Amino acid sequence: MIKNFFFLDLSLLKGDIRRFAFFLLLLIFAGYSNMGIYGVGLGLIPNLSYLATLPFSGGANGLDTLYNTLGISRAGVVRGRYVFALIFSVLLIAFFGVVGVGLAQVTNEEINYSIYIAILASNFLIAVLALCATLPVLFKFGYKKARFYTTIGPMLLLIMLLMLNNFFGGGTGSVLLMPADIEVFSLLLLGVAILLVSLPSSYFLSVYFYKKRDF
Amino acid sequence: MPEIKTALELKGVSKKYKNFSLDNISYKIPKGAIMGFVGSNGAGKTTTIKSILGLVAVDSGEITVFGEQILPSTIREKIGIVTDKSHYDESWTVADVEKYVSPFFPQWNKSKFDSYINRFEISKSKKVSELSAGMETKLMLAVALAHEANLLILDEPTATLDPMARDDLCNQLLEFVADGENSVLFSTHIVSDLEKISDYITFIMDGRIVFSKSKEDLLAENSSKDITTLEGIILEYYKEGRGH
Repeated sequence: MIKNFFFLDLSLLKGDIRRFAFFLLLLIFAGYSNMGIYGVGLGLIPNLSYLATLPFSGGANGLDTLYNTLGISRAGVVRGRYVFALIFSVLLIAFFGVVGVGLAQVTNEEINYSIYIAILASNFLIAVLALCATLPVLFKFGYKKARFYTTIGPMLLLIMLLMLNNFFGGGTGSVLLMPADIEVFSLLLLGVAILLVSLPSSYFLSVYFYKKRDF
Repeated sequence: MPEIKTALELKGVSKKYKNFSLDNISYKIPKGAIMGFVGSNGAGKTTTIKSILGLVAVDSGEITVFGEQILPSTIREKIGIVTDKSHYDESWTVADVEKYVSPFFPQWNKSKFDSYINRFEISKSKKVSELSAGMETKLMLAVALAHEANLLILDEPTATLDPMARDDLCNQLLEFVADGENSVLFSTHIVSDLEKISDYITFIMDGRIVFSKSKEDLLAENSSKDITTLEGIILEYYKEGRGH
């Protein structure tokens, strides 16, 4: 059932794939021009938030009703959307990782892999946390009503991080590249701990909201 | 095990909104019957149907399909839904609709779907956004029939159809119930469609059921008033209800 649902959601992205690819390249370029190879992962946050919330856009056309007629339970819809978002999170982080290494090869930039992985991991964590905050809002209000907040939220988060980055003077000691000073292993442990708390909380909140929604 | 004779039953279904309520809705559709569900716009037809489909959570009451409480799997396996506007993504082609929707239905009958698509003259390469309202209705009907639903629920499907397409749809419904195992709930405000095909009529006004009875009984009860058409009878009830 989840597999069918995943492919159904995936099919909804067809119309947006070109816009997404353009967005993706723009952010990779912007990140790279500002911070070199270590800035590449920055595009992950808005990209993931854009991509993972796209299936919700069908809500305006009655897609929630379609899921209902296909016998997908409310909890099943929520589960499917989280699985969808997580699979894309993993695919995007892998993509950014490879693009970064590719760019370094072209520009002959040397990569410190423990810093590079830590940066990608921290951006991945921020992106997933942004999703954990965004998805319950979408399940409660639907895409049409929640579009503004769910678009602006991750953007504000990114702007805030960039401002903090500038405030601390940029470079490897800054907020965005803070993982450079932390052991990769500690960072991963911290990430797992945060995910263990935020993901289930976000999921159960989404199920609670979605079960109460009338269409 | 006793034979189940009722396709759909609603007992005391209520739902309260700020400006509107469904109040104690009760009726049942016997197996093999077509029930016309009539009422003016805003009377509560769509809210009742949404309650049956679990799209709105009712405050109280009970809904059963073929004697069972409705679960998501019941909707998938036993109910086919046709509305005036499909819920398929507009970027999908008709072939995509089959591709993405059919895996959800264990009893999907591909040859039946293809035969209806051919019969309705719908091109599989056409996008949903390119289909006329009538074609969308027919596509939904093809999906509902191909997944071997036993209960068809139609919510204002004829509102956007031309007379010939409406006649065609009515014939399809008669064909569907011919074996006595399948049933139809047909919500509409075009009463003339029901004149030809319905066995039972349920009339709803301001969120309340005014009557739910067989067409024969309804016509017999009103014969003394010199009203011979279903449309005339319903109009009379409507005027009475409005205090004219």
